[in-house]
Amino acid sequence: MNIDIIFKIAGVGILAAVINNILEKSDKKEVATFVTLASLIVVLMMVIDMISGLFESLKSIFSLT
Amino acid sequence: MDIVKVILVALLGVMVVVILKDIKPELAFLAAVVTGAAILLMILSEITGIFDSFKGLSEGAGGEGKSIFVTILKIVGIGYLTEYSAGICDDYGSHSIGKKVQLAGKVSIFAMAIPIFANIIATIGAIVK
Repeated sequence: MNIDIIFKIAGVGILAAVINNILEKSDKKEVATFVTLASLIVVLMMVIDMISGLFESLKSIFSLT
Repeated sequence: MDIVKVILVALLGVMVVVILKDIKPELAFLAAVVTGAAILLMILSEITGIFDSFKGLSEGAGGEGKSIFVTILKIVGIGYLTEYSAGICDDYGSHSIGKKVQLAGKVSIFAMAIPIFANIIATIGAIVK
């Protein structure tokens, strides 16, 4: 079951938040934004193939295309 | 597929969304999408079973019945997909986009229903004559 993806997203989110805090403390604001973007992209990569698999199977079931 | 598992996954997803909401709002959105997808994937096998039995029922309806059944299947599919995405759009504040998705769903469903209307009217005309 793909419940672990939800945990991965939570982990990446919390990790990114912690890193952002550290970076902000050592006043490296611009690196913090990069970290936020990087975390977003990582999570998007994980999510995209799951969602496309879901929509493919939905299309085949409902014979949509 | 038991409902208890679905409920647990849903509550888990909501927990993750709430956690991520204040620290990383954009990831909360992705967590919501993934939770919805996970629940959908869980019930997918159930849906295929139901539709296979429906297909069996529609065998006896002859040529027309099959095409109408396929259209009904498509309409149910479109209805469900638009409801899924409109719900997510509404969740995250963009009601207008959600409304647009629902409008698009209605238009495509209506476009698919037209042949069925024509079919019904034709059969009624044949009966009346």
